[in-house]
Amino acid sequence: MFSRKTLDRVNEMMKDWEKEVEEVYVKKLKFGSPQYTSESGIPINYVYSPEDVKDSEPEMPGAFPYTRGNRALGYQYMPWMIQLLHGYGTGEETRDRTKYLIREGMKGYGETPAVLFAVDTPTHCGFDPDNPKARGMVGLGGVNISTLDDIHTLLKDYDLPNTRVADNIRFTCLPFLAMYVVYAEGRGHRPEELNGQSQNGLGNRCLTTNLPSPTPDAQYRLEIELIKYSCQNIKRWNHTNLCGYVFGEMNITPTQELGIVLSKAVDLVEGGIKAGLKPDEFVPRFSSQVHLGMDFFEEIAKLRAWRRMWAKIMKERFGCKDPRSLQYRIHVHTAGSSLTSQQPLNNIARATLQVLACVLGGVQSMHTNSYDEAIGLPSEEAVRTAIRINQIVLHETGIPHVTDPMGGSYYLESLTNKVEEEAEKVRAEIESKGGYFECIKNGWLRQLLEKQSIKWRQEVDSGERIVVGLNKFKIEEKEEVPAFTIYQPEIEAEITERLERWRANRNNTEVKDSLERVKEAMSNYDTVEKAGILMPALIDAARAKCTLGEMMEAIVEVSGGRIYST
Amino acid sequence: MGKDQRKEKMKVLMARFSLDGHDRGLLSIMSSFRDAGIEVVYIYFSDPKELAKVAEEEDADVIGLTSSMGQHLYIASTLLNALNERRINAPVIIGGVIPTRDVPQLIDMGIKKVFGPGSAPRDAIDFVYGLSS
Repeated sequence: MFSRKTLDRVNEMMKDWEKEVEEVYVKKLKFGSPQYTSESGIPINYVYSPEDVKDSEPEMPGAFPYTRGNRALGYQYMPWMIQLLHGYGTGEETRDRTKYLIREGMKGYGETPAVLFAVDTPTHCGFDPDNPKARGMVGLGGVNISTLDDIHTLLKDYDLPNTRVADNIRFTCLPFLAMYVVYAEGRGHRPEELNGQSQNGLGNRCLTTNLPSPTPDAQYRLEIELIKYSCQNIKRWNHTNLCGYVFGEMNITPTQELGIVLSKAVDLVEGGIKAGLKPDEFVPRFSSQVHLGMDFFEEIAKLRAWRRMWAKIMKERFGCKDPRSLQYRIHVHTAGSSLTSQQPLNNIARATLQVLACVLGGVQSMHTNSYDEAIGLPSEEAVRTAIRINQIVLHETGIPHVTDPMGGSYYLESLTNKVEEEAEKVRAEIESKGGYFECIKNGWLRQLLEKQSIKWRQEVDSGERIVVGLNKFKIEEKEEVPAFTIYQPEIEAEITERLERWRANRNNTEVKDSLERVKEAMSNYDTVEKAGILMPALIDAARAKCTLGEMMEAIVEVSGGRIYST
Repeated sequence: MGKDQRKEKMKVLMARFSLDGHDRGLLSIMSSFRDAGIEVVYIYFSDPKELAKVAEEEDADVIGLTSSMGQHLYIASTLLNALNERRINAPVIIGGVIPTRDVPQLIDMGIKKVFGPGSAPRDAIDFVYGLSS
């Protein structure tokens, strides 16, 4: 990027600088010269120069490998989507929260409303609310969904083709999608009119929460099934959210997150090809949920490296030609694990820095955490403030006026290269051990995650890692921010009663027969090459008014897996 | 030698029975207990009656629960009932995201100690060793 002459001059200047540091700071002022490293362990210098980026190729936004952004124009043309994951209690309560968020500024691209809802754990795992295993958890941490009626309660006010419906569901996304397709059908819409996304990240979630889930082999097949179905039937559906967030929440480093997610993407693209799809048919519809922690510059570098590595893998390894296959669209979820319940207003400062990093990194979409999320469900005031952070950055600061404003920074460009190098090492290591799904099966990934979360705790306890308000700058907390809570037993009773009525108003012979056909399809679906045979059976089951739990139970009965131990 | 080494081997039963995926605190505390010489028995998701049975069989000195999604009152009362049925007196402690305002209710119910956000593993280790002195 620089002429030999410039680099020679830089080296001269660098020598002067080093001399001054050595003579003034180290010798005279006894400066201890600490060696800083990034969160991922990359050594960080005190200053960067053209020498550090001399081998980098010049790049522009909108051109391969898209380090500087997917499109020629960034936020000047299209601001990022402000999407907040939300949900609790009954469909009515969640619907009210959705409306509140939309009123305050949550939206998809253009004027499309976004309904990005969280579900409770029984729904994640596929236990209907009347199942004893669901006791005490119905409506906590998300809305409960077991029937088409529950979906109706949530979405009845929206024009489905013009609404981004994004369910944040762990293991039951396939039965949920079947139910959503049938629900939309009842409102007169064909699947191809729909718009939204599935999580389709069973593997991630069993690794990071260790909740009851199907076996890794079955997880892989279920994910490929969803990719094939949506790719052939719902063109606008983002079939798979390549979620790194959940790994970040277990204190995985930014380069590990990137390496792990890319290893998963490789497994899924290979699976899609085996299932008979061409990469350009389904690669453009991968979406993402990237974790964004507190290491400001490394996180920006990660976002830039992410786009570059994705573009290279999809082009060079899988021969993708469609530019959309090469352009990685990034949705970020700011790190919940960076929040403290101590002095909770400090979390607004944390979220602001994270939003800034996202904007400097050129993301397409963002969930910003509320300051009270370390205490409980976020209150209306807290989610509004989270939205306002975005609006302040967008409208008051001028930051979005320039695309990739960090581009050309010696430090950021050098760090982007380093992050790419380190993440590639992680990806290659996982591949050498058989790939992402194999590393779920053999326990390697779970061990890494456990090691990393324990490491964080030890660093905090020893004071090596400073968390403001938690292990340093503590105060006597006088008044705590009140936790926003719901009266769960009442909600659980109400939801269970609704399910009883649902079960009483259907043809139970049809239910039984259609569930048998789900089991049959699942047993026939023993390799990804046969993808495409399970979803039609699930759609029929949804038409027969089967519940989410019944469909999931039918799947797991065949697939096996780690199930609740009694 | 620190005081920990002088104590007899304590045994803690750590249990999950509500579907809460937040296990980072659980992993950390189990690791800290082991490092402090405390024996840890970990039960993957199970039902409360089953847990009480295991607590009896294992003769656990302490039973530890985790809750980060607001189910603390439910799981505390459910487990305490199951333990009472078997006349098990082992103290039950609970950690996780637990609002301060619910602590008195948990203590009234019979929970011996609540480790809310910001608690250090040391606090729980001291509690366990405090029982054996």
